[in-house]
Parts: sequence; C-alpha cells; structure tokens
Amino acid sequence: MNALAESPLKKTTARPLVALVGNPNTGKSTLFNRLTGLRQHIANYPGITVEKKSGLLRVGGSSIDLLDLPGCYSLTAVSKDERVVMDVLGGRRGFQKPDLLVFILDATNLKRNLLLVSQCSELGIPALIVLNQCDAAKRNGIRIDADLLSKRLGVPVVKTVATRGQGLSELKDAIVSALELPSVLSRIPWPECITQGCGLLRAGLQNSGSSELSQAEALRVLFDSDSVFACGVSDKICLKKLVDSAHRSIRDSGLNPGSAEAVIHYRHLDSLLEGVVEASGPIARSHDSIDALLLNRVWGTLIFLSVMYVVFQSLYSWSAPLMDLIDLGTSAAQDFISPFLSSTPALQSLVCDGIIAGVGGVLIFLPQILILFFFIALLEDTGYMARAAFLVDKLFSWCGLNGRSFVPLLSSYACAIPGVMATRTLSDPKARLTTILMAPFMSCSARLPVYILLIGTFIEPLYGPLVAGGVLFAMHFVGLALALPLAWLLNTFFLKIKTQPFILEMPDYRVPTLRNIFHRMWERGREFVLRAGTVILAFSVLIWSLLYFPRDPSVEEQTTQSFLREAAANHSEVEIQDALKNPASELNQVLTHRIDSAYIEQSYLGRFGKAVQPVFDPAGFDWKITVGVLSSFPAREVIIATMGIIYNLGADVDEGSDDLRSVLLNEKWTSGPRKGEPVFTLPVVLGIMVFFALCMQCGATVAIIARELNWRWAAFSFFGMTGLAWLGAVLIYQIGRLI
Amino acid sequence: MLGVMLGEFESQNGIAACTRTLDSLRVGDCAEIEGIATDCDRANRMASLGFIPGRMVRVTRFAPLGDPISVQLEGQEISLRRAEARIIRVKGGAE
Repeated sequence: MNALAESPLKKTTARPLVALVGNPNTGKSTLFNRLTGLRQHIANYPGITVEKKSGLLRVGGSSIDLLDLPGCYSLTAVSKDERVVMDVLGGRRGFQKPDLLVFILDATNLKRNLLLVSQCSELGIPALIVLNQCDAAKRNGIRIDADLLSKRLGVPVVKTVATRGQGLSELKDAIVSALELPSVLSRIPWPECITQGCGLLRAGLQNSGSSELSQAEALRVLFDSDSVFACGVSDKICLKKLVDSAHRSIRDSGLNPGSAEAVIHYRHLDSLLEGVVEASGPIARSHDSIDALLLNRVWGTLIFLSVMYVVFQSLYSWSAPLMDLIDLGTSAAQDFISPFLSSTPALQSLVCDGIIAGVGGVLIFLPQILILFFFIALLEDTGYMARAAFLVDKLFSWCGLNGRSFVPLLSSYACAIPGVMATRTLSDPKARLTTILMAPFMSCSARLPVYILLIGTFIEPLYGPLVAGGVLFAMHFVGLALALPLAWLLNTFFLKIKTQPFILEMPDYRVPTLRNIFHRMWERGREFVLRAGTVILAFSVLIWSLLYFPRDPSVEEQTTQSFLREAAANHSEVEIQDALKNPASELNQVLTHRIDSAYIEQSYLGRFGKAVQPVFDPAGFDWKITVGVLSSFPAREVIIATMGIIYNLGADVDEGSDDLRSVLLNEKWTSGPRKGEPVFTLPVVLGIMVFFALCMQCGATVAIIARELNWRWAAFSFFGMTGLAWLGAVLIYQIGRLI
Repeated sequence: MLGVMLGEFESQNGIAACTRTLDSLRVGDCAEIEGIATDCDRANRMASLGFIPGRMVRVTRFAPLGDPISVQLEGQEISLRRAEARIIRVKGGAE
C-alpha cells in the first residue's frame, strides 16, 4: 500500500503504466475497480481538483500501474478533466506518458465511442480496445465483429461485461501481451486542407522560433483554441494568425472549422465500421417505454418527487439511529477513558473533550455520507440520475447551476458535508463550484435545534403554533431564497470559468450491482475520514484549546468564594459543608456549573468573544451569544451545550430544556446603554436565527470545501457567508427596533 | 469540393433564412442535420457528440418545464438545452 501511495505519475519504477481511457458511462470505473480490487489510491492531480485514481494490477508474477483517466467524449480540452487527459496522453507537465492505452468502449454506441480512439490514433501510443457492455449490445440486437474491428484498427480488441466480471482474465492477458508486443492504432487519412494547414502551422511556429509541435499536437491546436498545446506556445499573436489562416483554408474547402474534426473522424468511422457492426432492424430500445413514464410531465414529476422524498427522508430521519449510536459510543469512550486521566485534568479534557469528541464529530457524518452515496450510486447505476437532471434542469439553469445540482442541494438540507461531496456528480466545473458554494446555505439539520429553542421559547408562547410553524418553515427557506440569486450574481459577474453546454446522455436502464454500490460507499466514506476527517479533528482540538486555556486556577477560587458568600445568606454553615461534600447535591451542582461558566468567560475564546462583541452589537448580540456562536464552529449544534454552560446550567441541556428557556427569557443586559433591558427581544431572536441560517459556522463544511475545491474558496465561502449572516442579523435587528 | 463530398455546406453568412434550428422543432419532429451555425468551441463539442451533417435527429420530448429537450440521434437519447439546440441547423419537415 505504501509503495502504491507514493507512486504518482512522475515515477521511475520499472512497472509499466497503463491508462484506461473512455467516454463517461462506459463502465470504465467498474472495470478499473474489477482490475485493481481495493489496491487503489485516490488523490488529486497536482495543483488541480481533478480526481486521480491509480491502482495496481497484478497478473501472474508481474505488477502493472493502472491509471483511470477521467471520462471524456473527445480530446477537445474544455474542462479540467479533459485537460488532464490531454496532459497525460501528451506526456506533458512532468506526467509520464503511458506505455499502453486501454480504451473502454460502450458496445451499444460504438461509433460515438470510437471518436476518441480515432483522435488518439495520432498520438502513436500502443493501444488496446475493450468492448464493454457486450450483453446490452446483444440485447439491443447489435452484433459486432471484433476480429474485423481489430484488423481495421490495427490493435487487439477484447469483449467484456464489466458489471459481471466477464472477460476479465482475457483482458488481463491482453494487457500483458500488448505490453510485450505493442501495436499502435492505424492513423486516419486526413483531407489535404487539414494536412496542409497543419504543415503551415508547424512551419510557421518553427520559423518564429516560438515552439515546435508534432503533427498530433498541431492538429489539436488547429481544432481546439483552448488546447493545452496552444497554451505552451509563447507567441500568441503569431499562433492566432497561423490558426486563422489554416481555418480560412478549411472554410474555403467547404468545411466548418468548428466541427470539421468530428465530421472527418465520423466519416472515416462510417467506412471503418462497415461490416463490423450489424444492427438487426430498427433499434428497439427497452428504455423508450420506461422513459415515456419516468419523463412524463405528470407521472414523471410525481415519481421524481417520491424518489427524492425517500432519499431525503433516509438522510434526515433514518440516519438518526446510527448517529445516536455514534454519539453514545463517543460518550461511552469518554466515560471509559476519563477516570484513567483524572490526575491530569488538562490531559483528561484534551483527550475527552478535544480528541474523542472530535473523532466522534467526524464519524457522526459517516451514516449520512454512506446513505447518500448508496442512493447516488443506485440512481446513477440504474440510469435514473440523468433523467432526474433532465426533469429539473430548468429550475437551476437560470442561475448557472444545472439539473445535477438538485441532489447535492437537497442533501445539504440534511447536512452540507455529504451534499458537497455529492457535487462530484457534476461534470461541469463551473456548475460544480457554484453548487458547492451554495450548499452551505441550505438549512442543515444541525441548525434545527437552534430554531426550535428560539422559536419554542420566544415565538410559540406569544404567537401560537401556527406562526411558530410558519417561522420554522421560513427559516428553512431563507437560505435557498438567497442562494439562487447569489449563484446567478456569482456566475454572471465573477466567475471567469467558461460555461459548458449542459448535455446529458440518457444511459440505458440497468440493474445495479451491489458490489458497485458498496464500492462507491466505501470509497467515499474512506476518503472522507482520511482526508476531511483529519482537518475536522484539528478544528475540534483547536476550538477545545481556545475554550479550555488559560484556565487560571484563581477563576475557580474566586467563583467558589463569591458563591459561598451568596449561599451563606440562605443556608447554614453545616448545610453548605454537607452539600459540598456530596457531588450530587443541588448546591454543589450549581457551584460546578458556575465554575464551568466562569472558565468559559475567562478562556481565550471567551475573551475573544467579548472583544468582538462590539462587532455584533448592531445585531443586538451580547457577549454570551457571541461566544456561543463562535464556539459552535466545530459543530453548529454545540451552541446549545455552550449556552447551557454560559448560563450556568451545565452542558447537559438540549433545545427542549425548560431551564434554558426560562434563563433566556429572563436574561438582561448587565451593562452598557441597554442595561436592565431583556437581551432576547423579538428582533434579536429573529436576528440570531437568520444569522444561523446564513453563516457557515461549521468547521466540517469549511474542511470539506477546502478538500473539494481549495482553501481559498473555503475561506471565501466562510467569510462571505459570515458577512452576509451579519448583515442579515443587523438589518433585522435595526428594522425590528424601529417597528 | 471537399465540403460537398462530406455532405456539409457551410454558408458564409451564418444561418440561412430558409433553414431551421433544432430548437424550433416540435415533439415527434424528425429532421436532417445540416450543419452547426457557429464555429465556436461549442460547435466542436456538439459535433463530437454526433451532431454532424447528414444525420437524422428526432425530438422525443421536452422536459416538464419546457427546457431542456430530449432528442434521438443514431439510436442515442441525448438531452440538450434549447440554447445549444439553437446552434444546430436542420432541414426537412415535420413527420
């Protein structure tokens, strides 16, 4: 595993490198999983957020490095995914050129899949063709003469059914023999205007001394203005002139330079496939009748809503028992470890409240992540995901998102962590970025306790359950109502990424395999724990230390003394002494809670909260609310426990606690211009709720955004949302005070 | 001329008045692709997906909200937004 983890592309080991190439939805990843088993390593390509999957293939005694390149339709490098493919195939940016390309083709749609192969024939890298999903092709009445295809392409052809593992051993053998006896794809005959244009381009660049391109590279520059090879040319003006004149000569021969490449390849493939593919009669696809139902205006919408309801319910409710179990496990571990460390209170608190609570705080996300990816794998493997995206695309297209944003945003209503992870299903980088940034605006379940506490305490008793319900609903809506226009703003004015056409290929309906689904769940779960979990744990320990230190012992002494003076007024000396000896006595508990509260007030975070309280003053927050908000960074719901401690009630309070509610009702300003006035007036309460709805007071979300995008975007998202939340709270408080 | 041989006629001044674009077809309509209107990078992408001159395309349905549309091309069901369908020129009538 170690050797594997250290084998990025730039390696010099003797192991041959084999790359899997193919369109999306061809079963490429399934085949990769089948070939490597669990001996695989998922990371990002250096410097970009494109997922890089590599693994080890063992055949007989030898090992081969296998690389699963991102799925792409052609070599036109528009997205980051496609650029990576081009970089690897071109051996650029320090990537090792693969020794063998294994093309995974969907046998049900051979011609379209062969376009990529045809384009790659220029590269001269040894190749091997895999016809996957041969069973589905057979069912659709498509017969393929693999031998003839192999003869015409000049490379071996293997048939497989990846989902059932058919043809795997033949494929492994073919890979080994292709490495021993490599054969390259036969090149396509280019029309003269193209070869001439290419020649002029190469000569021109060479003369100007800016760059030397091979024929294959020149072709890419000619057909693709964003080509990675064009980026490498220093003299951009000269390049543009040369490309323009080549395009002119292409246009003069009657071709559209924009589509000429595909047109020429497809014409070539038409003749190449003559006699290779035989379709018996008109293709009657099984999915036509299912589509008629699932994409129906009425029934399709109803089915979509039911499916999404089940997904959401399972995330929101069915995950609860598992999450409770993890909570129980966390406190059991704390209770178990705690006595062993009682001699060193600082270490005891670090281990129990920092580390174990932090680990628990990481694991708590697992049930929702696993459940969501179970459904995502299920929906994608059956072929429904593309249909769902088709149905709702219009709802999102106006603001730069697309139909595939629906599931991530819906999941974010349960929790933004799995929601952000689910954006991996969006292939358009711009839409994915926007969806990730919008996901934390959805009101996750961790915000609910705050709403329930405040609505239950201040709104329901005054205005009745109907208004209370309405406010709760509005709180769930406010994030979404702001997020979509924000997405539009961001997309229209700020994001400089090229918009990609939203084109969905409707895959055949398939029966999903459990093996595949579990692989996806395992892969995502593991990735979350290893890559985001460490950061979340670090946040947890950091916030713990800020809440624990400096822990001056004089705080405890002073609190105890003032408490004893107070108690002496109502109780006799003997009563107090007895009570203090008995840890369970009411007096002792009150004292413990006061000490905890005093420690928080004196902690670094408490001091910081007091220091920044003026910033939150325009929203009507006192220092206690401010500290509560700040300390909830590791996990939003922690604010309830923190408020419990700050208000001398101990950490064991929940959103339904009557004690906490009555304390909040009676809380008054102790200083400043509002001295004596109640802290929690209606505008303040609404302001706090809006603040919580809009802020990204969640370390785990910051961590996962940093993992999925980068730290710059995570910081942008965090500060942007906090600023927006502050603005919202201030507006509500100030307007509310005027009314 | 090569363009004639490959079945593609490129009009120099963009969309000719007599041709229609894919987004103007109704559900059930069948038409032959004539070309792609612009030579922007979207043209390359659409062509790569199989929207090339001479092929038949049939509109199978619209999404519940009217956009995107779903078409059948070479036995493949492909969904695209009207904005993309607009750059594909078609000829031939309704069926």
